[in-house]
Amino acid sequence: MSSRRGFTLIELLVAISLATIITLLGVSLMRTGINSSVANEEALIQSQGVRDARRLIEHAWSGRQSIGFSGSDAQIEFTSSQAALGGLPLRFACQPGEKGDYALWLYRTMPADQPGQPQEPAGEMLLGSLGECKFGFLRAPADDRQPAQWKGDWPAGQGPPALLRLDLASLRGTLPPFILAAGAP
Amino acid sequence: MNRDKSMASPGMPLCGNAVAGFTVIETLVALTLLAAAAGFLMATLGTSSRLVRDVRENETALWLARSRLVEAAAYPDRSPPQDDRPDQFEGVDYRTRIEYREISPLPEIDIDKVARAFRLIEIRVLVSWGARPSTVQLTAYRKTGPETSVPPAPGK
Repeated sequence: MSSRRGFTLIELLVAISLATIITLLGVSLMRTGINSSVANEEALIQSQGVRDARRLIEHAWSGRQSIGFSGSDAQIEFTSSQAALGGLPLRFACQPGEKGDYALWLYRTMPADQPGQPQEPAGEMLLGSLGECKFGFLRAPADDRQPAQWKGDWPAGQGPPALLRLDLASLRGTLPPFILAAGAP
Repeated sequence: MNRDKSMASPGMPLCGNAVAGFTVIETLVALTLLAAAAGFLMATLGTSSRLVRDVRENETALWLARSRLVEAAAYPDRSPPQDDRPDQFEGVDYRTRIEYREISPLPEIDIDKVARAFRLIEIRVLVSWGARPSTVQLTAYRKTGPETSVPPAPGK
């Protein structure tokens, strides 16, 4: 008869139970950690995207020309004299996506390769997965002392508005309005 | 969960056969170390999440203050444009206060005794949030005409 003996059933059950508990604890911790890390990274990426989009609009808006501006709650069109933007017509557009969300697009009319050819605007998505994307406009101060009201439409031919506003919402909630003045970037 | 004779401590008695398990003390120490490591990991994750949230809240407050300052600077002689939306962004309530104050370009000059070719208005926007309030403050100055009046504390 051998001098060694195996584990008893009780010892084996206790060992398996402890191993299971420790494994579950470890998996739970890892899952929590991964989820937290992914959520933090997504939040930071979205913040960076919003920041970049705002800076691009601000940059383009600072070089806008006084004529040719038009807008609605879904888009704005104007020409910017900023060298990086080519002094060509720009259109920032809020477009609905396939999942009920919105995306902010920038369309730039690129110069034609050959004279006489039609110019096709090139689109670039600046922000996606938005819960809301809407422009607003404020008229220049009038003589009356009534508070001004934001409008959702700005027909062409009346110059740029006094204030331009962009309302965005991420999938986590509403973001603060982004407001630009006519007189300063 | 077992160890052979060669791993046993010198002088440690073995019970009957040549194989001994871990003692209760050893097991408890191992579990305590494991729990401590898990606790540190969770604390690190919590701190990381809190810092990310703080950065987002600070950035949101800064953008809100900037937008309100642009509005107020564009309309220094009246209440800022009406905005019925609550200042709640991504589940956090923000409180905005706008202060207007007429100041003299040269502090030693009494502005009431000089011809007012222009007036200088200091516009200060304060945004606070949280139970233990954090605050962001932005200030701008706007030169206006002599007919402009400073509105009576239209803070929001």
